[in-house]
Amino acid sequence: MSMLIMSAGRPINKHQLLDVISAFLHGRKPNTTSYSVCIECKRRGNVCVMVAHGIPCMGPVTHAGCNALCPTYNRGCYGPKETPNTASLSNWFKRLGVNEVDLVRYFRSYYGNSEHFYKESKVHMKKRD
Amino acid sequence: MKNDKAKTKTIKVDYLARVEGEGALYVKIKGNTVTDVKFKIFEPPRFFEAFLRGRSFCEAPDITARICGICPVAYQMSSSHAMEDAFGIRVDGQLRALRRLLYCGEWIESHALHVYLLHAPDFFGYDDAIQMAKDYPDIVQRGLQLKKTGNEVVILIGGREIHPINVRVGGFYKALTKQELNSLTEKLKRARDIALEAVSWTAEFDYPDFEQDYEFVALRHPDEYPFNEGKLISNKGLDIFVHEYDNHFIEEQIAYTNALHSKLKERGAYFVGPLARFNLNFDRLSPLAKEAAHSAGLSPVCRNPFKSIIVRSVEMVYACDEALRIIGQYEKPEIPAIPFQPTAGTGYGCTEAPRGILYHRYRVDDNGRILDAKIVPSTSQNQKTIENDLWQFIPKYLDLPSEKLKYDCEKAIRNYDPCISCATHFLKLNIDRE
Repeated sequence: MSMLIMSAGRPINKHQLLDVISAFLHGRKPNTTSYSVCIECKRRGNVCVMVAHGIPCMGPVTHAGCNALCPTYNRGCYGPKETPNTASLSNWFKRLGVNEVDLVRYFRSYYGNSEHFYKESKVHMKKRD
Repeated sequence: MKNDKAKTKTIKVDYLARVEGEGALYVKIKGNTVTDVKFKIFEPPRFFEAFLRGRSFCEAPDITARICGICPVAYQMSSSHAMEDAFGIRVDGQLRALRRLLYCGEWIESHALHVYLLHAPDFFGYDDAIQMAKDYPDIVQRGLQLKKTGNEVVILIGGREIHPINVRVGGFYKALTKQELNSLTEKLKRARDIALEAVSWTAEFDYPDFEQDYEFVALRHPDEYPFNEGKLISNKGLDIFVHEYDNHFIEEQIAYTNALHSKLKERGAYFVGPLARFNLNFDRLSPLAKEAAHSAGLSPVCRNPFKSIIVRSVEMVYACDEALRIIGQYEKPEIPAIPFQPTAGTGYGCTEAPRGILYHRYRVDDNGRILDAKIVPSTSQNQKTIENDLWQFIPKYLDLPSEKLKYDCEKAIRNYDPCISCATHFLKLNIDRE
């Protein structure tokens, strides 16, 4: 179960927890989405905070399930997701003026030890030093 | 548990129930004398202060909020104020009012949880609120409804009820519209009625005759019941600015607990939380809250910690009242946060968490990166007073059967609504009788 919760991005919300418990009680597979927070933003009709306001957002590399909470409140998201394209996101962040020190910080928050985030943060650790 | 005839007796509570986090109590009694009291917090240390080093100032409200699932707003408020202090900025007007409203929501949700679900069962002899709900379903349901209203305030302003995401240094990410806030009005009016019932309900409980000469410490603001700002005062002469905190308070490491003990350098143990706020700021309560307190037979100074459950209920009345006042006068601010540039410096913040003052201090560099952090939560400040209470309380009730004494000790600890998760940086009960 820990794998599943880890892959659901940010702290899971109560609906996700209820679904996991009910899935295990019924012996079914939990309903988890396969897409990123970006899709939820589009569904809610949010204007992209990164494209429109230049706010670095981890949404593209974060598993959906929160209903795009942070971007709905005009702020960027913090990760993560399975097989995310972290390198591409780092490049986009750099274009927004994020330096190597801050890139490390972005990838080393609550999920800093998840595989892809850890690898990406190491890339920027090297460049930073 | 040894039998009551033996001369030495140990009371052990290995896992204190109905407190937030993991702690234990150990009491040793020889004959008619209590020889040892240890309030042990064994929840592992959490190192928040250390892993804030090197992070950006703007992450402090998000990261420190994770210290507590019940009072995350308090952490967001104290850290934001401390950073704003470091950068020399002030958040005023409607943004300040919106912060106060968010805090009202947290007080309602936290106090309702403690009054109805954690503390009230003690006064009826139940093991938990679920048992209590069998006999008093309406009361428990009202409590849950009150808590839900608190949650709804935090959800609307903060984005979610636990670890809200909308607070930032300088204000908010998104300011709400008057119309959005108006959606809370009817619910808050109903919540205020339930809170008033809670005051008259808790006023009827049987209270042990137990009073101590405490030093109460709380914030004091020129014209408000304290949430975010004020001077730190006590009933024994303390009157200081928040930035002078470290000159007057020290933290000590104690071998048997993972939470640092905080004390006043000059006078030792002190008392923070609803009872301290009430005793020091009664005149700042709203007329309705004052009236509710009077009708419950409460006036300052109340020195009986068991009556903190009534005071918590009075504070719920106040928080609903204040929330309604803020919503009534609210107009959407033009910008959600005031602009600023981080500068190197040290900032101090202290706000009134539901359980009492919460102190934060940060040193940041020119890029706004945190060089060091100090966080002193309310429960670590109350630990010494909790132990002192038990030293005084137990000798009065030595004739009680062990199980009953154990139950009463836990009840005495719950007077403080200890949040062990916050303090580890704690509950299990052991009573040893010789």
